Amino acid sequence: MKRLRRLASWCLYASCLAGVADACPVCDTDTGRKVRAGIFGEDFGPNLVVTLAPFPIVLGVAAALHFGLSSRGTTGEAHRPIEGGGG
Amino acid sequence: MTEATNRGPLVSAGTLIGAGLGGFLDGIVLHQITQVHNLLSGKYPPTTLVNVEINMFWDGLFHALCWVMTALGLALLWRAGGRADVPWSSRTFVGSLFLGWGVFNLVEGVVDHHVLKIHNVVQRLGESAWDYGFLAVGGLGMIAIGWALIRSGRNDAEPRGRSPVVG
Repeated sequence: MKRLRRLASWCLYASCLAGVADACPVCDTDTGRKVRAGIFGEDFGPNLVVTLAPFPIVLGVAAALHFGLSSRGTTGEAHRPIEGGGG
Repeated sequence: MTEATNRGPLVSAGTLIGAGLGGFLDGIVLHQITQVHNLLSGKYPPTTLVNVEINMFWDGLFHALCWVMTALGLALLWRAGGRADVPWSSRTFVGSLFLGWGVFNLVEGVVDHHVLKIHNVVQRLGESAWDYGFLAVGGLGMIAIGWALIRSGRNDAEPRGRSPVVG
């Protein structure tokens, strides 16, 4: 049991020293700086736009369904809250 | 008694939640577990540690936006549940989840895979049958299932929490 615990501690210590852990975008290492430069370089704006691109379309579809289906078949109780329910 | 027939708030809530969950599934299964592509793997091939880390950042932003859509959908669902004019229909809601998932796949597939070409479903193959299968099954198929379910619930008219009439 003691040996197992010592082995686990050693593995944890070794993983902290591993080079891969130093590659994060906020790490102050050579690889970290390259990652940061790759993310926040001149392509940041275009990359942000292409990442965001599908979301406004999906939101537009949801808005169209919200208001489009609301206008059909409403029977005059619109926006009246349920008595004692829903907050 | 007036029936609750305003399905818009429930459908829009389900659509946003379905789109958000669909985006999470895409990210978890295709970006992380199988790693067949990343969000910008067409631009930064994940063949070096730096490129893998760059893709991880943009994958994270993609997941953050999926989280926002899911949270927005939950807020709309909460509001819909408090309205007497909105029918609390399981078929409508489940159909909306499928509809949202399909809309997300269709939009993401067309925009990211075919227009912007920032990645393909299986990146190492480039544009392949997987991309068209994704649009057909994951997009149009899901939308058809969702729309059929929403239609099947069009006569549901009970709002949330109203007790059924007994005797």
